[in-house]
Amino acid sequence: MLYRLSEKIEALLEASGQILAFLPLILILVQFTVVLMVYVFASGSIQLQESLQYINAMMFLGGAGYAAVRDEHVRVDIFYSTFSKTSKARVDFYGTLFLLVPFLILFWITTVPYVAQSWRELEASVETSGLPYVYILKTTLILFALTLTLHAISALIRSFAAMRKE
Amino acid sequence: MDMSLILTISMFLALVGFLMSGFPVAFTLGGTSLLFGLIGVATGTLDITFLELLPNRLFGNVVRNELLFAIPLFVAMGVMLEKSNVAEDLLENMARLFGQLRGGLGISVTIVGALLAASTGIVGATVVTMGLLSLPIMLKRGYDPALASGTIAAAGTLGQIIPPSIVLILLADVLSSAWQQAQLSNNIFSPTPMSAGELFAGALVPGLALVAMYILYQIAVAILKPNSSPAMPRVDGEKLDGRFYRTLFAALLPPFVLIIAVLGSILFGIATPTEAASVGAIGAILLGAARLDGKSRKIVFATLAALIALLMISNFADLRLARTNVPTSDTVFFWIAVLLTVLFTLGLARALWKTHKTGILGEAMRSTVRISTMIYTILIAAALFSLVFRGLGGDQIIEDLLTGLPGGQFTAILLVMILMFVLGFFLDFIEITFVVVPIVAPALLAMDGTYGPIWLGVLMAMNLQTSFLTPPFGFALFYLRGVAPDSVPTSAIYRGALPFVAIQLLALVLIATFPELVTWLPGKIFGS
Repeated sequence: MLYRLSEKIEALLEASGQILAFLPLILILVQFTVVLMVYVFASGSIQLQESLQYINAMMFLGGAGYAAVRDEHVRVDIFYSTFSKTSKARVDFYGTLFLLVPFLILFWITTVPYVAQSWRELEASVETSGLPYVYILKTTLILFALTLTLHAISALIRSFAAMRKE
Repeated sequence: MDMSLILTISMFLALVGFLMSGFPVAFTLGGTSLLFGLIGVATGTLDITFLELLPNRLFGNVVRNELLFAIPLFVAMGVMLEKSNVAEDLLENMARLFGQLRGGLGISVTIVGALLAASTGIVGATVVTMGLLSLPIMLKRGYDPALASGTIAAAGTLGQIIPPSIVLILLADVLSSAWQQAQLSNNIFSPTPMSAGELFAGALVPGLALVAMYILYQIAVAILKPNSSPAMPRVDGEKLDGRFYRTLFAALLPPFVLIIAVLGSILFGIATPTEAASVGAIGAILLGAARLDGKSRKIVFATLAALIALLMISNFADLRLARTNVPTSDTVFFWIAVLLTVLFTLGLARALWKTHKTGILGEAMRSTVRISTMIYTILIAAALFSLVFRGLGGDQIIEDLLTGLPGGQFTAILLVMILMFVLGFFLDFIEITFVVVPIVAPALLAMDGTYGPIWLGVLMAMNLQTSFLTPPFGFALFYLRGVAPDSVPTSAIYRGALPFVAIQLLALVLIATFPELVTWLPGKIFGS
């Protein structure tokens, strides 16, 4: 049952990666458009410039879980690479439980009030002609906590199962 | 001993210990920092508001940091070039040009490594690509395995020092704030910033000097030990005729122009690194499409021609139509520019469609998401680390330690360099840049007789590069071991790397003794 949950989560995060893959492309195209506007047509748009922050933030905060599922977060693997499957699972289980999970708890506890405050004020950009959606930009911080929490649940189940197999 | 000293030291030791377990660096960094943050709160050494500052810090220093947008853009450019096999073409053609000279194959690898380095700046990727492509060829041609693997590992690490590199962008971000902090502590209340462009300019001369030294070494080996680097026999019927030079030119020119355009526009202050990176990424997509078939190549050429014409028009015509009194010629040029933009957009759209069809684009973009996210996640965790470290009074401890050393700045820098060198065996450059540099750099830069942040940055980057090449723990050697055939013993890889480590150390001593090597070019360009 739990194992199914873990698989569902991983499939979800994997699917999120397919969607997130559009973001760097959009980032390239928007930044390039800004360059053309500024250097060729001598006109700038603060809103377009600011939209880059939104695209980029969505990509790297939303991508945290996807990168984790693909095991892309860099490890110091001098010893890890020589470990047996069980030892690796043990590192992942205890690491997730005692390092990642507490960090995520701190992240949730501090970020939710921070974002909520911004929503209450419907905070706008400090630039007068900027985008008035700073509360949405701040909300992307929650994406980081959310996708990594999903990953942590799945990793705990998977590594616990792998430890038990022996 | 007071509590904050005990806590900072044990936090550092615990971090290194936990990292050795192999749990992902970003999560280990975040978890360890929180653990010691909580111990600090419990013992009254740390004010809990330091932990509550986290989202504020992340939003201000990470999410809104425009310099860091350059990371996904440069990663996209590098991955795109890698996936569309531009490197393969380069190496093949260079080998045909130089291969018939003794030592020529090794020189080709060094030059291609430098070009790839300038375009991707990802050490692991460069070493793996070069190892897979050129090591088998070199071995087949009778190269000494030690020389071949040393050449490849060294060429791969060039990605850190030759601009535009991601290492230098991250270092610039950290050093710029350290530099401002240092100036404030010396009572300079209108501190001057340091830009990524300045650091790029500073790294250019030392980077190219390294390439030259590598090549000189290979020439020396080819003369002294001819058996270690034999010439490639001429393939039957292959001639170095006009046709060959045209293919060579066609393979070399596009990536070369791309690098010059990206780097040049940053160095001449025309564009910010982020803007230049987006142009580089667009260029990489077009190059990827041009390789697909003859028709695509022609269309890409037309697309690029439209872009160049567009840039030329903008040079001599004022296209702002909102002015009062727009001369007729400018109106005409405006509409020509619009037409060219449309043509360019169509060409780009076709390139995107074509690369999407072959699956290169999707794979490159997914890979970009993962690599950029990985870097950013470490940044996020490092933000907590630095909050806790400051909160515990760690920065004061480091400053007292470094300024209290006999011998002043020289000893302090030497000590930091040795520390970074050793840490480079265990940690990747991203962790060192975000964990160690912010701690030590403000104190180093505030000392008397400093040569400034550009010099320090280049010294650090080259130091780390050396560390990654040094047996038995250097990262580049691990990557190479991973792709080298079993016929190459690990001891040969180590032996081959040693002469290059010696070259690196020589270069380090040179830029330490003659800081002008670093500061001359930025001074010329930026007047800094």
